[in-house]
Amino acid sequence: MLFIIAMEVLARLVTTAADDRLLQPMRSPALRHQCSLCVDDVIIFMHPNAADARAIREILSIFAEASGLKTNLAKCSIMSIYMPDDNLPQLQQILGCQLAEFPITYLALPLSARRIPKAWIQSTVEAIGRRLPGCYGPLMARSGWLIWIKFVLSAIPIYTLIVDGLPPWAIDEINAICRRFLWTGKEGSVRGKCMVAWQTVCRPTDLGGLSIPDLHLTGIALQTQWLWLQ
Amino acid sequence: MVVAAVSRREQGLGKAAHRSIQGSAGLLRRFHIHHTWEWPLHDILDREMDPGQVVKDVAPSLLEFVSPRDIKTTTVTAGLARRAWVRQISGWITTPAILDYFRLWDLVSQLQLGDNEDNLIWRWTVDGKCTSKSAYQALLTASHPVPGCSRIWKTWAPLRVKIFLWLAVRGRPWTDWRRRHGLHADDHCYLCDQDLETIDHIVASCSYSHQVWWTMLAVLGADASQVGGTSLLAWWDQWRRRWHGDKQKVFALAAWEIWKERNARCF
Repeated sequence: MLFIIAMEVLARLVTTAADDRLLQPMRSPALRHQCSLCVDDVIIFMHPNAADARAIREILSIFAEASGLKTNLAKCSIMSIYMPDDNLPQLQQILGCQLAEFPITYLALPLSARRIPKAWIQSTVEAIGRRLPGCYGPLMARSGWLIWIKFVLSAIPIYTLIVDGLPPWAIDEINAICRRFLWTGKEGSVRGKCMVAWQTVCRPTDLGGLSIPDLHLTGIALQTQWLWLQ
Repeated sequence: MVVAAVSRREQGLGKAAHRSIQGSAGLLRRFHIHHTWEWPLHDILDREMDPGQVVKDVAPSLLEFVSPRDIKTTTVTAGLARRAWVRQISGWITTPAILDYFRLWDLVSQLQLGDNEDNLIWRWTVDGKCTSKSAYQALLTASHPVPGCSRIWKTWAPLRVKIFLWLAVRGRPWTDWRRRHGLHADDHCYLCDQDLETIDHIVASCSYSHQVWWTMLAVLGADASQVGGTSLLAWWDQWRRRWHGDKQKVFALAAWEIWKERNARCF
């Protein structure tokens, strides 16, 4: 909260600069703001030309003098969104920060202008595998496994699902982990041990399931909120 | 802190974001648009109406003479413009339909559409606000409830007993299909050795379990003249009809104990 109050000034500076034509305005209607503040990150969108870069540098130095919040440029990075790379060295020289490439991790999620590589999503799947109780698993009763799946394993991908959803292969892999755990209590093979189909298990209790959240439907339901808030 | 440079092709970002919510866009679209024949009258009319009443309820027999496509696609504005809704009625109209028509005409003639913007109402919650929970439930609205499943989770028993009952109602515990998996050649009941072993047999119709139920009912002081049934669910139904309170809870636990006894003899 404190961060947002302090940084609001910076956002105003950028907006004023854009209004005074010091910065070229964005053409896309999807990008309404040139400056995005979230949690403790600041993103400034700009056109890749020298004039804009100088303006941004000036804005940052004015902000630093006024508030004492000096920007550590070594910790900043500059990224290109759908543009040729030949301008980047020049921009880097003006702003004095590092060059970086997509995908990056932003607010603990992979962010990219293109398709996110499989390896980045794989980490979410592995995070679920790591939360299995390991050697204690076979010592618990099946009711324990059920509780573990419903309230520990299914809760992990929710943050990712709210933002962007998971590709079908990732949902399948997560389901496979949960299925193995529900029927055997460990990570090994589950062949011939599943007593009820997984789709049925995922239904609510009055529809004949165990009300384990169905990840595909959960993703759709969570993302409906975005449409509603628009 | 991140400084991102955007070039002319930045609109690509918008497209990607759009794609990701396409799945739920269809959902929302289905939820909020009212069509002429389905709009809630209480939104528009001043006189008192039951909330949620729609044209379909006021003029049911008239709707047989309107094509389903018109019912689905005409919006309120399009339907009211120069009384387009009248032209959508076609065919040889019956007397009740004509009466419906007059009633609807009376209602619609008082109607004035305001200039206010439409506000969206989420129809799956009481207060009209969207929640993820209601969206999830809405995605499952077309499903049929499975008989006997809700009572399992309402009964008083440890979770492991409930899971056993859930499997038993679906007929999934490994009983007579051991042989199918090549585990045992014998598929007769371990408790009475008289009949094919199914979970329904073990709990409801086996002579051994009959004995258990008799003893239990005698201890509880209930009339034990008739126990058992053809299937687990039928027997449970009978039990729930005849005894109330704490005696009702015993069923799940007793079934679980019988199953454990069978397992102890089997392994």
